[in-house]
Amino acid sequence: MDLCKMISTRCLQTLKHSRSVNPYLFPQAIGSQCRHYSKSVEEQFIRPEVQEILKRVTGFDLEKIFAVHPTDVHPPKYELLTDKQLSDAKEQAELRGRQKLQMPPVMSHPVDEEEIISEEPEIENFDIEHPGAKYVFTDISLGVKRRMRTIVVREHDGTLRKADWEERNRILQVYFPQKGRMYSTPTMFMEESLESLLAEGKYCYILDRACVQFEPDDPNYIRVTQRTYESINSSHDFDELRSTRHFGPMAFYFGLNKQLDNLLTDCLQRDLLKDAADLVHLHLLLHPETKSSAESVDLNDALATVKFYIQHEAKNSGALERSLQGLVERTQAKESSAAGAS
Amino acid sequence: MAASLRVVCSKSFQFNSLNYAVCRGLSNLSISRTSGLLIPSEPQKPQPQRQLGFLTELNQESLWGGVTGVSNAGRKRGRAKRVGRAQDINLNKGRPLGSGRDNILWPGLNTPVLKHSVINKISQVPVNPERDERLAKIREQHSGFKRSAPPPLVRGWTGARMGGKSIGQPEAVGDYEFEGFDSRVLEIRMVANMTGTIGRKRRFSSFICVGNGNGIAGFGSGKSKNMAAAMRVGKNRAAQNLMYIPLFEGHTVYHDMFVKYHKSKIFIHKKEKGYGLKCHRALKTLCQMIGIKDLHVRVEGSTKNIRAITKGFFDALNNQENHQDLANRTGYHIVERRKERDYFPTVVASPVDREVKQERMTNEEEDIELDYERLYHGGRSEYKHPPRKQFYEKTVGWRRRYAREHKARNQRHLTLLKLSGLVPKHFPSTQNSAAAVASDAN
Repeated sequence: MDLCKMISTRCLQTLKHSRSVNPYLFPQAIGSQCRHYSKSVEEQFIRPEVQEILKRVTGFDLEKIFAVHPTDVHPPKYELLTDKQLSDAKEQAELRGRQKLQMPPVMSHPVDEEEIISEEPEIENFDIEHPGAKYVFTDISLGVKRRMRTIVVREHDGTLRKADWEERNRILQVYFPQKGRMYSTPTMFMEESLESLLAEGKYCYILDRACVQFEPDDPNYIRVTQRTYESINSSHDFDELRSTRHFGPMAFYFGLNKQLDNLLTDCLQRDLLKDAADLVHLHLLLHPETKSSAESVDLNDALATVKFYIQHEAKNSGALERSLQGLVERTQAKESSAAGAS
Repeated sequence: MAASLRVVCSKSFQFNSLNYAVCRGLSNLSISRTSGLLIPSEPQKPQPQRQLGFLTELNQESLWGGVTGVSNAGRKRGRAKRVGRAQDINLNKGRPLGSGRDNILWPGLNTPVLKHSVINKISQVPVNPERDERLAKIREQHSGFKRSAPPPLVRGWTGARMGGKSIGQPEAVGDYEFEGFDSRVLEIRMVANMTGTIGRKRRFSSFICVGNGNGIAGFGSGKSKNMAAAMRVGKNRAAQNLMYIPLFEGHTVYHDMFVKYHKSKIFIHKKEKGYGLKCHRALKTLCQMIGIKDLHVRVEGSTKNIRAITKGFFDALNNQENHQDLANRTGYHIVERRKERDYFPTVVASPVDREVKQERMTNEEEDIELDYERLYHGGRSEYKHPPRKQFYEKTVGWRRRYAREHKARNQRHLTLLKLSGLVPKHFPSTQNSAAAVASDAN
């Protein structure tokens, strides 16, 4: 199955059950730009054209995808392969690489509406031994999806209601523990510890661990990932996330928040003009109100697209212009040297 | 005893000729004028005191002889000369006659009888709390030569023998100083031959390995009349027989190997970084000299013939085949997969000067030969000791329980398999078993 399609279906499944009404929680943008979104964050993220762009700008460096990671070590294994077997093995590795780059979904936190099933004041204070205790009833039958599972709470005043997301996460971790996920939130996600980790530049580690520990619509997940993206944006360490599954969500976040300047500068400094143009396309897709002014620009011309962005949308156009100038000079020098050599 | 003590009072009474025990008794005595006898003024509790026996009859020399002595037969064999032999301690050192733990002054024994023409009385001076410590110190000073233990890294295999110990850098040959080289003793023993004139002529034979810990090593043997000279000769010979051993990434061998030398069978296993050296002590020393850091070796058969093991090990290392050689020989790409890289296929060698084979060999034997794990084993596999039985497995009770549980054994596991659909629900089915019985009968 096409990977993009796969992601879309998965996200849609989750969307059905997340009563999302508020947009993606932005620390700086609350109450200003984000209110008028016609589409929710989830819907924006799973748009096929957005997914295509995010996948393209992520990059695909097999050496980085299969870099040495900490495991228990064994002596290496060897195989004697023919040409065909070798090409098959490489193909398989590439496929696995694509799978490893599958992006974690970007979601907003659902607003909890307390859903009361029944109110029975006649059984108030039913537990005499533990006054004030709530009873949680969980359907533990096998084969039910995480978000479909029925979990209800009987309050001590006799109210029977559906469990909120926090209770659900706790109870599900008790009955259906997920590998690597801790019952209580690890200390590294607390403000202070997170800051010290960010100062060390362990972005991939933080994001990977957050993927394991939290559901994608958990406010903690949103907080941790957004803080990490902010830190990357200020330290210009975008290359750390290239060829990892976190680059797409990061680019999406910057695009949605109109903070693409630094990322674009980084792309231009690394001679990734196509990626830069793709990011400008992403900007236009996410902010349709800017599209009308871009009608005069030929969007197939990467250089013109980037120039358009610098002129009309950039907040820090000086740095962007300088890096674009550098890129143009480098390509010209290359062309002239190639012409001289031929 | 003191209560029943009666000593006839006589004019020739010599106070200082009495021994310590009696003196203590006398300190509380007074002379009864009526009877003319020494009678205790008040009854005392009896105290056990030994006045006779071999401790009082034998002198110091013969007492110590019983503990540290060597028999005549032993003396002839040289045991009396042995270094580190138990030696007698002079217990009187630092302890003059009359001095004791209680620090009592005995006129005539350790103090003069008269002082200013007045007879001194038996008295006690304050006890010295450091007396025992001082005595122990004095005894230690006179207890002979004591060897200080060498630090663990230079102790060799046992500490007592030369095996595994370093004997330093080889001597320079011409201008070449063996810088960065070290040598270790693998074996040193006495050898003898018979000559017509002298008879049994004894010499020392040494077996030494030399290496720089970075891929260059060698071994050699030397003989001489004394141990030091034999080791020196062996070391210098080893330094002139140096070999270059190619290492995989500078820490282990290229592949698993098997080698047999005389009766010693050596199974060498390539290991990952951080594994360490788990092998015969002589091989461990060799690995340290060569620069191998991670290796597992099992030696079967003769494990005491260090020369055979060494030669076999060097043979195996010299006959290693690196990846490029293997690719050239077999005509295939050599692809490496590491767990820490999630088994990503990396081509480490491809055939040079020959075409890559397009077809995998269909011949079964060839396939087995090309299985990398078994490529260099020569069809050998090492002996694996069966798991030891628990002590209780011999008991009657355990055997009874084992028999009793026969029906239920593995049933839980089978139920799980049936539930998961991996095993048919009616397994073993009666139909099948009946058919099997019928086919067996046919």
